[in-house]
Amino acid sequence: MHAESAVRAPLIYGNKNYHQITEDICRPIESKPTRLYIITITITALLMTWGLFMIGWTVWFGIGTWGLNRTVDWGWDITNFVWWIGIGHAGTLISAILLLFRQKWRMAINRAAEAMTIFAVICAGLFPIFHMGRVWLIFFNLPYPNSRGPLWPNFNSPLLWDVFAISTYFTVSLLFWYTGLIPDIATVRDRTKKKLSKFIYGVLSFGWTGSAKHWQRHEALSLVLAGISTPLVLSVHTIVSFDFATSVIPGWHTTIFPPYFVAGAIFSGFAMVLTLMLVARKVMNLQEYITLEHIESMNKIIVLTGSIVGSAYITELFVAWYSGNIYEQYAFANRALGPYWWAYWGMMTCNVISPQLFWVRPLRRSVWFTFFMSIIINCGMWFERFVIIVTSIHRDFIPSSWSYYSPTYVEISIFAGTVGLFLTAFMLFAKTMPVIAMAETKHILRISGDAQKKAAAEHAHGHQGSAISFHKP
Amino acid sequence: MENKSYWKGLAELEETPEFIHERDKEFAQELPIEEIFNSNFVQKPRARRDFLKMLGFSVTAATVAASCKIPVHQAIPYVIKPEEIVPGLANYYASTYIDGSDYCSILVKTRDGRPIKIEGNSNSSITKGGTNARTQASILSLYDKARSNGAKQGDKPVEWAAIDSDIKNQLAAIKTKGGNIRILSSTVLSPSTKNLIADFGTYYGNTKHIVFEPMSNAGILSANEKSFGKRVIPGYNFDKARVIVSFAADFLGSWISPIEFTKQYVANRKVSKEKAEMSRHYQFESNVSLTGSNADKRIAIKPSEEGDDIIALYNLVAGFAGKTGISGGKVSEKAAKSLNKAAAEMWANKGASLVVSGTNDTNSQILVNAINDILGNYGNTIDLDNYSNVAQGYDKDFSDLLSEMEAGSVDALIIYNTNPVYSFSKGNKFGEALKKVGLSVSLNERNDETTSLVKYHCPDHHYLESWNDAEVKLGKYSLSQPCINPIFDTRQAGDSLLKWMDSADDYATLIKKNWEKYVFPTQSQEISFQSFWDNCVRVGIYEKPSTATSAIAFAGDVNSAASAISGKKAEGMELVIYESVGLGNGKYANNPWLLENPDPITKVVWDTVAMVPVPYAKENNLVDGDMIEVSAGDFKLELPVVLQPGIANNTIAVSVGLGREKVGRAGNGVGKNVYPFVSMSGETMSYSNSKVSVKPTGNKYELAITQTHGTFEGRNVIQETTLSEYKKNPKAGNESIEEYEHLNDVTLYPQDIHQYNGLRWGMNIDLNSCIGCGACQVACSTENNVPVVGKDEVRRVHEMHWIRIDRYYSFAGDKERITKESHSNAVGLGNQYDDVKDWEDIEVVHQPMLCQHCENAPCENVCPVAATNHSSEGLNQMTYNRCIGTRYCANNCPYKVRRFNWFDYTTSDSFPWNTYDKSEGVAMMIDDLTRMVLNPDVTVRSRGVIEKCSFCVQKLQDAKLNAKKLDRPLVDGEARTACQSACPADAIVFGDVNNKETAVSKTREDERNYYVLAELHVKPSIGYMVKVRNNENMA
Repeated sequence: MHAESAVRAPLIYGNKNYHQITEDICRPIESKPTRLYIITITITALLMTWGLFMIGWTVWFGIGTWGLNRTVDWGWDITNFVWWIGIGHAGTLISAILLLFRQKWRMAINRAAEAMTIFAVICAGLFPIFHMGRVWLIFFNLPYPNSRGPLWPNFNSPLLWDVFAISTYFTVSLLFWYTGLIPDIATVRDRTKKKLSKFIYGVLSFGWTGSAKHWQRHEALSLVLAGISTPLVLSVHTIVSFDFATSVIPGWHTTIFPPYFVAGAIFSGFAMVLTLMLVARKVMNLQEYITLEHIESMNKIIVLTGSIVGSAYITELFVAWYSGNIYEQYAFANRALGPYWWAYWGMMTCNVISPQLFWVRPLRRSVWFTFFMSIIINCGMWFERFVIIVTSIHRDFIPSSWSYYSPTYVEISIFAGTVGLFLTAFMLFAKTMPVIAMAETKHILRISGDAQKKAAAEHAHGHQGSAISFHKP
Repeated sequence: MENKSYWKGLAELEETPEFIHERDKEFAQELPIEEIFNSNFVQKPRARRDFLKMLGFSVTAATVAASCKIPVHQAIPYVIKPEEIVPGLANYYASTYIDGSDYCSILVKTRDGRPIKIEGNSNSSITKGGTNARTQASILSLYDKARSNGAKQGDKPVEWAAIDSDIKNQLAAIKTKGGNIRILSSTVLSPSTKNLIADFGTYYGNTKHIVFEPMSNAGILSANEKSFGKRVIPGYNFDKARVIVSFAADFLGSWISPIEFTKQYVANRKVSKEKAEMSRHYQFESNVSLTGSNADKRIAIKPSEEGDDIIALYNLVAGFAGKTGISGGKVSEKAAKSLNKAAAEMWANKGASLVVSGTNDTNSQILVNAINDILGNYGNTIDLDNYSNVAQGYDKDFSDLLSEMEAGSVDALIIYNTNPVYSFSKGNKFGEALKKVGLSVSLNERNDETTSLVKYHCPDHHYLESWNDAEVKLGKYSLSQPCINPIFDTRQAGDSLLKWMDSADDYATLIKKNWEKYVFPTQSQEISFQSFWDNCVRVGIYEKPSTATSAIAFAGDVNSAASAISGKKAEGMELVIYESVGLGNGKYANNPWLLENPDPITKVVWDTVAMVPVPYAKENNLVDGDMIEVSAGDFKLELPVVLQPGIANNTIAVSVGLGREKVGRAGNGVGKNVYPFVSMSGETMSYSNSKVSVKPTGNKYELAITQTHGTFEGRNVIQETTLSEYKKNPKAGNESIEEYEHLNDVTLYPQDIHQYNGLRWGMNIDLNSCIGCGACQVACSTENNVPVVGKDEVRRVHEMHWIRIDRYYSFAGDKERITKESHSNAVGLGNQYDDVKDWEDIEVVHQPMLCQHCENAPCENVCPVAATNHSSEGLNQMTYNRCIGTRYCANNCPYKVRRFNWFDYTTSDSFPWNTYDKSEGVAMMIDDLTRMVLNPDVTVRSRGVIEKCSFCVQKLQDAKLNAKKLDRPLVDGEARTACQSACPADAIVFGDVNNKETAVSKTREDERNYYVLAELHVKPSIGYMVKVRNNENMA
């Protein structure tokens, strides 16, 4: 355990000791659900059910129930897919890359962010599955020895790469998340007095006893999984971007897509983490763990990734002009000035202009402003995917086939359903599992807790008296 | 050795009765049979040791059960096989498509006894193997459930014998009292039917045959009577005309004999280095017709200006000939310029020019005759001796009949294949008058608007169920033969008449007798009639050599004709009524293939629209689909508008053909009936009206349009040039090809990924020949079982056509064309067309677009399951049963030719209750009878898969197998795609491009050959020929 500079703001406030941390984090799990909780989860569950019904409707009657047409063969389905996948990226980034960079502030948010990743990938996965015309033949995608020749899938197709990328991503994320959960589940198990809870948490904790050997293996596994996850942060969205980049369609066929998509994914993922955590922090009374420092750090990443995304937009425009390719030029003129201008300017405003406000420190540290911005960014990133997908194909090479696309109630319902699914899953998670990684938070208490920091500072400057004081958030 | 006995226990030693009982049992323990068959067995707890037993039993039982045979449905072979029918092999029968004035010599493809496809008969000198959309689609009408089944008296089904005796008694009574009998029909091309009608008249006395054509050419008949003393429709030879001037005659689309004229016309439109000449074509018209869209120069004139323009042309031509002119009104500056050029060019090409007019006005036609006479065109481009028998409708006869009926002096009226209650402008009046007729009989095939008002209905066969003959032009005979037994309880019209005449013959015998009597003696090749007849039936036609043309003397009165048509003034809007190219006069309004075949100009399907000029629409803030109310006299109609570039200002145009009330499930209530706008002008019907008022109603309507963007944005989609440029440089218009070739050479990727060792299919489409008629679209749908999706689905841009015809507009004479984005609505903000001044002066190009079978196909590499892949013969093939429907291929197709089965359009594999019944089309095409039209060689696609043009791979395989059976290589032209065979303009060439001698290979060497979007390096297999316009110095 290394020492930390005294000027660095503490990550845990409220003069916590280990027991208090356990108490604070386990409180929501052990208390009865509030009326607000029940009302909210009922609404989200109904939304989810409606969405699942509409998926069933689509499978039963056909993709014709959507607004897609001869020219625009992907619309809200793939837009939502890319959007959800992007949202998932924050979790992996926080747990894997920030772990490797030893960013301790990730401890307060990584558990929730990883959970969010899992749920977002589930939501994302629904779209490519159910956008298929014949979903019952989905196994054709899998490379397994078969009696049809054998007939293999087409390994040149980016859609097949997607199958591998997304399934790997989901598996690794799930393992990583669950590995981290095991010590905390054991804590909950040890505290609970109810027989059933004890049994369930007992099974889920895989017999964790907290022995030194357990801890050693746990640490080693975490590190290995972090190592595997790290390239996934970059590769998954790179491959998703190949769905477009390997095509011939102007506006899709762009070499800049992989970094641009990854940056966009992290951008939207952090926004979604903020949206959820700002609410959770308030409702679950975790302000002392998820502090303004955390919010500010995340906002800094938003400025960075937002600026990368903004540069990518400008680069695309420049390249379209510079290429001399009339189709490319038209595609971008059409984005800005064509019938879907509102989506383009929505995207530009939300993603390029508004995040720049985070250069201002008071805004970066304002909870309400951050919450507002996180919503704006999520809308902006949805627009981005819509712009890329729909405005590029609705007017491509042959002008006779140009058309317009707008979604039907079925597509809108399915999207709303995935939002319901996501929120329902997250709320169930928040009520049953520790939303903050208890064990890991305890790791950093000694160096990043406010009382401990103060004590250390006093010790170092004992004879001079303390010049440092921390504000509670 | 002592035989020791061992005993296992005391019981055995003592042989107790219990022991003996136990020893003699086969099984030590009781078998639990009782237990197993006890109903409680399943609920009872099982012993652990029973597990293996249960497992064993279940597996064995399951194996036995699963290996039981499922019932096999046996296809029972013929006990006595008909000589001609081999299951799985197609038979072709020569026949003739005759329906009123519609005519086409055809081959009918039948499979296992049911007709499934129409091909053109290349033996015919009239249609020369060409077809049109209606001919192609007529096969679907055979399986139309709305056709009548059985005879009816009023609404009551009756036996044929009963109805015959009833009708015969009444006719006999009329004969006795000397009453009037009238037979009202559409044009009758059949000489046998004409004879029969004459005989019928002789038999009953006081009989008159009246021909009614809703889109009449009576003006030409009377003009020729007045000019030359011959009441005929002359034969036209567009192939001999180097300069064509047409006043609103849509001779490629709907006028007189469009297939014949298309064949003739394109002969002079094809250019090559060897023959760098083509005809000049001026079109003066109000609406934008199919013909106008192909003209070198289109001059938009209002209907009221037409008379003066014809007079002006007469005066110009007369001036060249040194004749005195006639007085006429002023012509517009634009028209005058073009008339000057046209007159000079025609004078320079005397005898090789042609003036035609589509008007039904006798006086205008007299002047047109006069012009042609001065130009010496009679005997060359116009032939009064080898006249045509189509379009025999004589409007005066019909109006006389109507007054007779109203006066109650018609005792019997027999209606044959005509429907005046729908298609006459005052159909209601006709319907009222029908009540005053004592005996009214309809021979129409269905219970239509007119038939539902008559007393007796004796439905006719479909033409594919009938024997018939036709003499479309003098001495050009053809035969129809039945290709299937009658599907419904119907009887051929001729047989009905024969029955009522107590004749012993049936109609087929009558035809044979007639041919023996009249046709057989005119030839000398065949000695016996039977062999002559057999041969005629086999080839479908018999053509006598054309008669030598005789000298003619023009005797028309040009001065009085001129004064009758000159100086028409029109205030406000004028209305033009034209015939729809696809649907014709409305008889086929229940044919879903035609309903869904886009109009060649407006690209609207399933609807009647009003073409309005763009300036008018801008003034009134109208966009496509806004409703206007058109009123003429006391008739009003609310119609949706289509903004039509090229239509004359202050003119609106509507087409007939829809708005049927009693035609069948698909057509009822589709569109509006615009026949009531037709008016009688003198003795002829007039198809324009200068006294209409038009006002926007503010209502909105959603049109089903398949193409909403009308310009090609200057892209490498269309390449065109002018004839003089082409003469200078055969590469004109195609200069960019070198740059593309260069760009495509610099690639990191291997160039020849596919090896084609045998055949390599390729196609070429000549944009100079393609007239945009849409016959190929229907042919493709027929051949490949392409589903009809209905109006709602087309509105949602879900149409399924594998081949479509893209129609692009450009501004005539403008070097820049309408290709700049600033001119188009590419940019959706603001009003885009503000800088465009002249909306009347446009040029049009039609481009058939289908799967390009790219060698470097973008669709192939993106499919995750390899459902679309490349054949060893260069086909981009679609494996339907592998497709999972991700639609990435459709997105990635630069030509947008891939079609997705959004719903279960064919009900091919679904449960009956999950069909999303949203569209009329779906409901139309799924019943068992209609499905008989499906081609058994082509898979019917299920919901959720992509489909697209296959280059008719089933026909290619068939041709290859045929060649293999004959043990010889495939001959060029043997394998033909459906679109290619259907094309009346021979615009499509198809074949093996590995063989340098084939026609398609030669087109690839041509400098005009270009590839759409060649710069993408997808290497399409379809080349297009640069469009050459002969449009310099025309105004």
